[in-house]
Amino acid sequence: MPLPNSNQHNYPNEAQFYEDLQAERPEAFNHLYLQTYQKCLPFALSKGSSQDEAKDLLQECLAIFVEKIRNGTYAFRADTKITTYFYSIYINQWKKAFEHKTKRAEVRLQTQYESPQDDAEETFKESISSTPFRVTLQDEDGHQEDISLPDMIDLADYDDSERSWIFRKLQRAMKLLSEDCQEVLTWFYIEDWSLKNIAQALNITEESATVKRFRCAKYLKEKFRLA
Amino acid sequence: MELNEKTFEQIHAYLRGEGTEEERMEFEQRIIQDPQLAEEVTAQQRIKSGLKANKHKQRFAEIHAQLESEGALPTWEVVASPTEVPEVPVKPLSQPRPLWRYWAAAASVIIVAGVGWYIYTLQDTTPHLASHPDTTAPSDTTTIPRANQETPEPASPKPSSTPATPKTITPDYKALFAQNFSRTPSIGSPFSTEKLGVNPTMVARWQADTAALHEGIRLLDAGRGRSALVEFQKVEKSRFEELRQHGEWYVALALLWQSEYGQTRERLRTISTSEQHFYQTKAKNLLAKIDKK
Repeated sequence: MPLPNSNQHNYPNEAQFYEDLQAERPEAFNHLYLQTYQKCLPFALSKGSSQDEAKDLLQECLAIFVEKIRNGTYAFRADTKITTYFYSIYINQWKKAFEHKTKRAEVRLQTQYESPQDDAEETFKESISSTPFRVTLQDEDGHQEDISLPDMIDLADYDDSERSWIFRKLQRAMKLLSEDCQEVLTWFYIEDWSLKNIAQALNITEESATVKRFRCAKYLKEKFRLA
Repeated sequence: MELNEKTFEQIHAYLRGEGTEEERMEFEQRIIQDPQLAEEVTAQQRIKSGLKANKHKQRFAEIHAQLESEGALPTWEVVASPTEVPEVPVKPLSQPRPLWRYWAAAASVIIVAGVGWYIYTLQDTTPHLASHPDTTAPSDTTTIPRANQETPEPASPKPSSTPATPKTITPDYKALFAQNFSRTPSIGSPFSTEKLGVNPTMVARWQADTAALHEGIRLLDAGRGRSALVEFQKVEKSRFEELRQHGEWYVALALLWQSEYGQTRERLRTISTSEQHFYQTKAKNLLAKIDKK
């Protein structure tokens, strides 16, 4: 059930929304953020996360999600709302982050939380052990939304360690590189520039650009050990 | 398998979905037969997606700041602590206003949002400046970029990654650049004269374009002319006339910084012949000085 008052940009249908996300249109990104923020933040806050933790987690999950849309790993299905699919990812990731914290003894796992009566815990168990799983989200107006996920969703794609690798380790490794290399790798990996464009930007030959790009990519991998 | 430039290119061509079906199948056969190649393909895919995801995260952080400044994000009273599991869901302190009403209700709010965004993008430069203790805040708007104040030196344990002979700006052109480069261009909101019914999409576009302009200025300020040029080229294609004019001017400055004097002249000529261009006089003056050299 959509929120009655949250649409900055109203999409006539999910297919159009998906198409705009693929095209990385600002209005689609805004819409996605606003929709998911309103559902995900109350969930994480109600479970004891801080505002910043909940927000960071949301932005990281969204970033991975839109990358999956871009590279085709996430395939749109007419029978599943895009935001519904995303909520499942967020909740699953929140749980993993919570478990990680618990393991590190940063928080105590409460008896009440562990209780089998706890709906969220039940949901989490299901989310790992079987599909489809269901979860109930409640918005600020008290409206509830039951989410049921189809079998095709591979939640293992979004493991906590991968998220940490992307947003911590990879980011740190990149920053350890020289500015030139950061620039070349940004053009190559993120902006998808051709060798010709890189060579032009650096005012070097394509052959030199090939060597430079390769070396910088190699250095990046080497920096993982230090990051 | 020893990874070399050729294999690296083949991996990325494969990841980009290039090649005929036969070529792709052939490469897939190689992947099956060579575990090291398979590992490298996975690694490259992971790095590529990971770096793109980092870019997306940055974008969502910007969207958050933008929506927050517009008052479009709800806030909640946290009724739980990490040691308590609430029985009642968190309640909103404020609800997001329906945006059509938001935009239509008060153009003044939009002005505030615009100004807020502008201030936000300006504030964004603070950590950048602060991260360079050798830089003091400019007392004048036409200050020389930081990277310009001393000869750039390679980062310490720098691998052999120095670019091949980049052009460097000569001191006399550097002085001209410094006289004309401003970190704080004056940008007016195109929505300030609107009364009602401002299209949120247009606001978002304007914000994205102003963000690109400020990003370009930050990059140029750090002496990264090439990257700055990419940002300014986005701005000069803006749907907003004023931003386009800023974009055109800064493209000319970035070209000057890159020592592309021929292209700089060409750009300046175009601006100086455009009636009512915000930078017409400046462009004329700068062009005259460059022509004298």
